[in-house]
Amino acid sequence: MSRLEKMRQNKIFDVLLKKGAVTFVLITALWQLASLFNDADFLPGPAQTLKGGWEIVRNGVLFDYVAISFMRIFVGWSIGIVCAVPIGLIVGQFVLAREILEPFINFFRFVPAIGFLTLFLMWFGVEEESKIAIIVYATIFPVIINTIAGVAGISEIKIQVAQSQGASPFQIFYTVTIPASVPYIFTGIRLGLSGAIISIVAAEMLAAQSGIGYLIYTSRLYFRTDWIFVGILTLGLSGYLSDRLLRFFGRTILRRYGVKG
Amino acid sequence: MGEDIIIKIEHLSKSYESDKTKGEKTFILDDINLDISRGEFHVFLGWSGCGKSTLLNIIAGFVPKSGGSITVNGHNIDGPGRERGVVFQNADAAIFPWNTVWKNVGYGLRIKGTPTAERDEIVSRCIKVVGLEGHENKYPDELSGGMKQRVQIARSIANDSEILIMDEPFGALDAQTRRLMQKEVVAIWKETGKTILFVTHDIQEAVSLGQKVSIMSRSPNATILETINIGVPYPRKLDNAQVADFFQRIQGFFDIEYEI
Repeated sequence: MSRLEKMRQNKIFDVLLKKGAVTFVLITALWQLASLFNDADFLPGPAQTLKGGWEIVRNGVLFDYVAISFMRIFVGWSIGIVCAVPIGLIVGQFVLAREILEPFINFFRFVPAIGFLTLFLMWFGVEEESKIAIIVYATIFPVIINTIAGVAGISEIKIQVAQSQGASPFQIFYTVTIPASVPYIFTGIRLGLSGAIISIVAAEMLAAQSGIGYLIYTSRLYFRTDWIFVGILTLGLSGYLSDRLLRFFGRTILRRYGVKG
Repeated sequence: MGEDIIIKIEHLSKSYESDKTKGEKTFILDDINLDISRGEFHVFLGWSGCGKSTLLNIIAGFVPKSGGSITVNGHNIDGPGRERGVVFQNADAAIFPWNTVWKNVGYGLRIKGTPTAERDEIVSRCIKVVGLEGHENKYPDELSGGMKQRVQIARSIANDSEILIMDEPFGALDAQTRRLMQKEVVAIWKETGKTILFVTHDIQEAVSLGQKVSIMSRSPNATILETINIGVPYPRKLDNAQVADFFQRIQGFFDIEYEI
């Protein structure tokens, strides 16, 4: 038996591996090692990044930026979901709606949200509205496409059950189609969140005076490479945590609908 | 019973045309004629692919017929209807996983808009009939295969369907549970007086359950070879001489039809 296999039998090691702690230690060690051979302005190490991070934590900038970025994400993402779910349900259900809207959807899903930045700045102004519009756009497509897939994937038997119990098409729609689509809608919502985070960072880099994207982009002007690292780490961490939170919500509250965390 | 016909099937056929057949019709079902009395337990027996499920799907209203006629209570069938409750073989697909047992059983009544008090009374009674007391608040994923089929049966009884259409309902159950459910379904039939249409490929199941057993020929051009009256009282034991006789007789049909 190899040494690694022996370690895997150790329960504590197994838990640490599964929870990502082993990965974390490995990456931090590699990062530290790499930073030893480089200038701090080029590649700051973990300790320096932590120190730089502490600076902007103490003066409140980091929290402000995280809060503003997530406010934009949350507002845009919520509006996006509220618009996309009904569209997805209708397009999935009605052949005519599908034939009219599907080419449109399949065209715009390949145009990334950030491609609309200049247009949205022009249309919605340089304030929050244009950034929120970007997030709405980024959220809508994954949610619509997954909702359509959910409606299309409903087992014929469930429809037949409702029919032979006397349900009208409209009753079938809200007692079978909607609940049966929940797992797909949920997947769309999760994908929408990652799309929203990616887009807001790009938008903040190009056209904002605050937010995590702004932090990453402007830190180079002050030669604060450590702040760039702080920004990247914050992004990854907050994205990871919000997805975990979302999955927790899914497998508790939506468990009955077949959502798997 | 006897003369009170609930389902009348005359010259029923189901065919399809495909490119392969170059416009020539292939008949899945051909010239089926059958009268089913109110309150009858009627079994359709045939091997896999003989079209018995197609026949049931036509009666349920899920599949359109190609020719002939079917009437239920004198009315032509042109789609599914609440008087024809269906118990599907695949219970996992047929019960709503987002609803408890209680809400699954009450589904048809909620759709119909039955007042809550009356609905609760009916659901509670039907859950008792199928022996699911104490499991009302469970979700389908907490139920065994047999219990899921009980939910399906209770749902159709609660909805006051006159006819229960059962397509190999116990096919996915283990042997012990299947025997138990066969006894239960006879008890439920006696208690409720429903008309039951029951599809199976299992001769033992057919002779234990059916008042009448319609034996189907092979597809294409499947039809009913013969409908046998099994006048043996319930509960039927398979080692009963009369039951064994019917078993042999039906086995004989299959031996000829399938050239074993």
